[in-house]
Amino acid sequence: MIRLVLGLISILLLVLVVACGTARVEQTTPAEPVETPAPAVAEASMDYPNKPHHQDGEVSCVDCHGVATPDEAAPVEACLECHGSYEDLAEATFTGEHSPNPHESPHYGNDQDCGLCHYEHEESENMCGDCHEWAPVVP
Amino acid sequence: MSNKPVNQSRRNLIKTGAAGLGALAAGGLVSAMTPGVAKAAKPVPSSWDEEYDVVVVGSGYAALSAAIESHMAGAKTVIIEKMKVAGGNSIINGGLLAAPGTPLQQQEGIKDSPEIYYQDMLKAGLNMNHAPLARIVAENVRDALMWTIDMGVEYKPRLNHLGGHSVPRTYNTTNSSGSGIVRPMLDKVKELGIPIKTKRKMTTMFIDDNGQIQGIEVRDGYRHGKEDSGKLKTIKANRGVVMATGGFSKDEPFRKAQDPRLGAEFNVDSTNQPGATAEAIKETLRIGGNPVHLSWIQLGPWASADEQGFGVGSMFSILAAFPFGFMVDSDTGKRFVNELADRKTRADIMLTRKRPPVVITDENGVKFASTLPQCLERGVVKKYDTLAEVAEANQIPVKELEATMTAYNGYVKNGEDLEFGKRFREGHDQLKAPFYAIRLWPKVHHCMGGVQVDEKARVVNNEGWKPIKGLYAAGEVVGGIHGASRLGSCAIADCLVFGRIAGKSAAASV
Repeated sequence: MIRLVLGLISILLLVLVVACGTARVEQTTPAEPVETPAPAVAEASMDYPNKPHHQDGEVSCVDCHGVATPDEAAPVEACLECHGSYEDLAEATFTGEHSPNPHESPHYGNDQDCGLCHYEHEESENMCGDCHEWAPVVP
Repeated sequence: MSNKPVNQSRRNLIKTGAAGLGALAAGGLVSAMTPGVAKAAKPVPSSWDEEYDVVVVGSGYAALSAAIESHMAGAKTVIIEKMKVAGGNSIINGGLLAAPGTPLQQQEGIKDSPEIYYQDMLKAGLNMNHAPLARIVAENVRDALMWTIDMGVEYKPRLNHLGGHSVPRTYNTTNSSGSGIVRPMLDKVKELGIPIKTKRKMTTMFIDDNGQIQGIEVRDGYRHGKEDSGKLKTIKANRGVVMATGGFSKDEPFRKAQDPRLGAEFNVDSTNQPGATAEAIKETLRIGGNPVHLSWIQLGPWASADEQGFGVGSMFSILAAFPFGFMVDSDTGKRFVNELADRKTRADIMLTRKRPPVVITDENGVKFASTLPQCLERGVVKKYDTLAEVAEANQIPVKELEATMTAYNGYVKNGEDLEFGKRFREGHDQLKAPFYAIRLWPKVHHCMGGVQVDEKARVVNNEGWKPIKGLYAAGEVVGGIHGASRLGSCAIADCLVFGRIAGKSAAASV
């Protein structure tokens, strides 16, 4: 019995030692070389996914962001310059007096940041869908 | 079996060890070990990214009230909101605000007083209310209502009589939404030049050795649901931090731990926006705040079973179906509760039904339903030419349903509900075809529980029972004011009244 216990303890100790050893080995293993990220370039629009209707080569970073190497989101005014006023947009998505209209929300009104739902460089989001089953297409 | 105590003591050892190491490593964390002093998680930074007098966390009624009052008292104030849009749950709520002694009550010849209001709150709250706080709401909500009117909020020219209230005293915004109050408040905040920083989530509070809140850490650029998104920033709060972070109705694991009936597996939905989660409450509790009534979570008995969230059906039930109609168990065709009882009474018994109960009203009732067109269009409310059609469509035994309506009409005619003691409103006639019916299933709506505050909206430390210096809380994050059940249209009341108090207290650093 005592032997058995002693045997078990020694196995445990061995396991522990091996585990520690392994850990030490892992720690000293040099890290894999990491690929250096490509530096930002002036013609960044080429490197970002854009909306289909912005991909005809006519829209550059400067057109929306005002600068060639943007580090901030484009202002709403840049969107409205081509897409029309908030009122125009509300009219465009009007489907009936008692039907939901994303551009004239009973909660948020009609003067929200386009960027709440529409993302230029990634997939857009349906913010209404956070609470409602309603799922309009968000370009 | 015998492993348990060993594991437990080991865990404690590890915990104590870690805390001890932390305290040794950073001198600023010594307070973590002192009873009665708020517990720091991270040492107070030596320099800050931003500095204000008062930092308000959240952007609903309580937060905006606090920010406006804080600014008016001369404190440089900022509002931070974790979601991408301001307004919290307030901007999607029903816009119902109860107050005593108002101009509309005067106009309609209704006698009311803060005392009756207070007694109504205590009755619904099963006297579990932190009574001095409830009294403050009752005594100050009239002022708060007038304050919103001065800010440009527009209300309908008619009062509503909500369940559990002794008299009609509830104002409703002209657009039947809380946005009717929040948007003018947001305009005011903008006009005053108080910055609102959205997509900023508070991660922790910085506390010095004396237990004084020095500021907070945030994730700037946070995107809801992506917990490691955004950059860490520190914001100094010279005078105080106001927690106005709302309830935890949308925090399924947290709410289910408090009330296991509210797990997603029971098909219980919530009326709240997705940001209504518990992390701010948890942080406040972690540093020494006292939990109050956390398991008292209110369900909305008026919510439609045929749409998501609060939707358009809830207002239909509140304004038309419950006051001017009757509700039956779909299996028996019989009434089973006073349709105007308080929310808890109604929701608890509804949850014990096998199928969604049906509420039936008529042309007279729907005159009061501001959302009727949307309800009909979306199939949330359906119109029927006969009672037999209502029965057939909802698989209700038709004979029983007819007998129920005959009895109900008799009660309406005599002005006395012999079965459930419902108080009939003026203008309630005997029901006649055509009928309008809605199927209901209760949804998680409001958290009565939260952190403990005193009369000045100061968060109380449960070690020593003194206020945590520099920490204030208001709105749904606070527990106790409403006791076991909040009366409908008393939440905005509480948020406005205590939001204003919190803002003033923080600005004055009391």
